[in-house]
Amino acid sequence: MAFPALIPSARTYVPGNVPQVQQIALSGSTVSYRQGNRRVEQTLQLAFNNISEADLNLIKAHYLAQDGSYGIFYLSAEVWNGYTTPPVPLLSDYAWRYASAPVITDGSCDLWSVEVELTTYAIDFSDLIFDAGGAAASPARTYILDAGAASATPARNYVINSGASR
Amino acid sequence: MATFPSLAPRTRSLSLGDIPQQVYKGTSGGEVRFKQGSAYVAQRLTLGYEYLAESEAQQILDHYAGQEGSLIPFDVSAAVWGGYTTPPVSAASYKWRYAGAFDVSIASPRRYNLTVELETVPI
Repeated sequence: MAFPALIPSARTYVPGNVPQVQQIALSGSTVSYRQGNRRVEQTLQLAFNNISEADLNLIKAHYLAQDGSYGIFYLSAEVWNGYTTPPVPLLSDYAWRYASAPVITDGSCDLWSVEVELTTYAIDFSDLIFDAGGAAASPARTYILDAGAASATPARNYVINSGASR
Repeated sequence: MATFPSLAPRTRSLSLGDIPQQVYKGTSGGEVRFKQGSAYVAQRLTLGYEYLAESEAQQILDHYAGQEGSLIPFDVSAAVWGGYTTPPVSAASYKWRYAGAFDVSIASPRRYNLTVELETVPI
């Protein structure tokens, strides 16, 4: 379930870092040990100012559907409105989760403001195919997001947006 | 169980809380999470009241005393959710309790400001 298609009023993206340990000698020289090859703690702060109750309920319903910070999801294109190329591709090996609970405050006359903080979650790229396109039918895929024009076989266990597939 | 006084707040802020979960984080940054419940905890509602008459401030103080501080959960009145078509936190699933004591300050002669912080209790 993608994040609601709402354009934020304010947006702050922090690109995170590769997990690493740094050891600094007395001389000041540094040795760094990389502990993973995927950036962690990329965060995205979104502010939606003076939105209607219906839009507020979209965000609230999405948060509840994800079981708070438990579930992961992709962002909608509207979240990156203004970017030619989003800094984190919409469908990639980074999904998002809520870093903290959304905070709802009263805006002007029967309008609300919502602040949301998201953080990336590196997903296992190996068992995901993003847009199968004209990919061969084998080996069998367990998960396919956007099957595109892929053939109907082999059977997929999970297909999200089957596209033009039969 | 006394319902929270029917006073419309001047400011209102709601934090939606989270599902209780245990998080195990690897050195690479990878995470495994285990859900430990299905009800949201730590939903917080902060209500700001400004320029209350003494009688109105006393209603809240009396209510706080009646609930024995943060001990006894209660329902909030419809006035607290003024402006919402549907309150964002269901009264059928959650009650509220005081998250802590609050300060009462003087705004002007015989007028008082106070900010109350409430926290949900799943039913």
